[in-house]
Amino acid sequence: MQRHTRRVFGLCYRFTGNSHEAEDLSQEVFLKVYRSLASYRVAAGGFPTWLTSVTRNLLVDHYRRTKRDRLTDSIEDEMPRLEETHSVSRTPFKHVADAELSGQVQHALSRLSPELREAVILRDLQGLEYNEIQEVLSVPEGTVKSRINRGRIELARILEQLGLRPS
Amino acid sequence: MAWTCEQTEERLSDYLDNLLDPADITALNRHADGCAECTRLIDQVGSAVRQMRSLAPVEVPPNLITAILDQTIGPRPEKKGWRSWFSWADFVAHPKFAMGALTCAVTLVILGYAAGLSPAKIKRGDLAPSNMYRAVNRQFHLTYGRTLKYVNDLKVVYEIQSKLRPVESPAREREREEAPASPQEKSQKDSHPGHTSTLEAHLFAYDAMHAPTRSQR
Repeated sequence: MQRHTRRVFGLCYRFTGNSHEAEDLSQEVFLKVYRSLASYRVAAGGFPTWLTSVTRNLLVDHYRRTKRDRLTDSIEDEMPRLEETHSVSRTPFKHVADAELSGQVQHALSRLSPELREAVILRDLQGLEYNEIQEVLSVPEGTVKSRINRGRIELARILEQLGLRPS
Repeated sequence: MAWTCEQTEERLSDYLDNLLDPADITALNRHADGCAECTRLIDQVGSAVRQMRSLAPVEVPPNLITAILDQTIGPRPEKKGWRSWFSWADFVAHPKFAMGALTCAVTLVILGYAAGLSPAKIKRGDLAPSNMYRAVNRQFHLTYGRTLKYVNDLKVVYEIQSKLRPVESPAREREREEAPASPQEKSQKDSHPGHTSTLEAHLFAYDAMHAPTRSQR
């Protein structure tokens, strides 16, 4: 349960960049999974891939639902991120550098288009294989590769703009 | 044959994920050697991927799992009335606790057998509180008495040993320090101390009597 929650919450948090939103979405995901458990058939990737797929579909729905709000409330949308950056900067000792990097990567991710963002998150933050991502996104392998590639290049450019030096 | 900038950018992720053939890697490297822009891009993207992969997993809020369980299987039934008083003791019903309790019980039974207790020997009357108290009291006094006797015996033995050891005069000690004797000579000296006092004469006789035993040791 903890492993699955971590996977779902991690994906939601990295996609939305907001802890509260990620928490609500995670609950929604598990509620949906619980209700549709009876119709679950063992797929090629097994339960984790199915769970990721359900999460991703909900995230896309949520993104479409809140698109208009984001456009009108762009300043309010920045608020949680700013609060998080502030709280992160107070994290003690050696975690500071990691937390700052995490914040910058998160900020860069939020500037990617949702298609590229989800592909990069699934590959580099969730550690999924290409065939698993293909199954989750329901797109051909060529599209998966292309999205991951474009997403990474775009992200690297944003990180450079943010002043993050190559390590 | 070297690649173009477009080809390099297009296959960059395959290169970073080690999915390129050796021939493709050579072609990419050949292009990158002569193109500063692509070398920079490879470094930048490689660094971004490394940084993303180095991030620690996101911490799950502590109440999230409870909230999910409440939403799906529903809140756990709360105990009402007198049952709620014993809710702190719920851990007793846990398999780990039961296993621990069982292990303790088995250990106690083994220790009981080792101490001579056997369920077959216990009669019904022995379980009466007054009889149990009497038995424990008796056992305690017996153990105390035995310990006391043992300590007293030890005391007597030490007293005898200290009396049997001859008292050495300061002059003789000095003599020994000047010319340290070999263990054999020492034992000879010990067996013939040459003292004239009554006590020492007595001790000399005792030593002589036990000399063969000592030498055997």
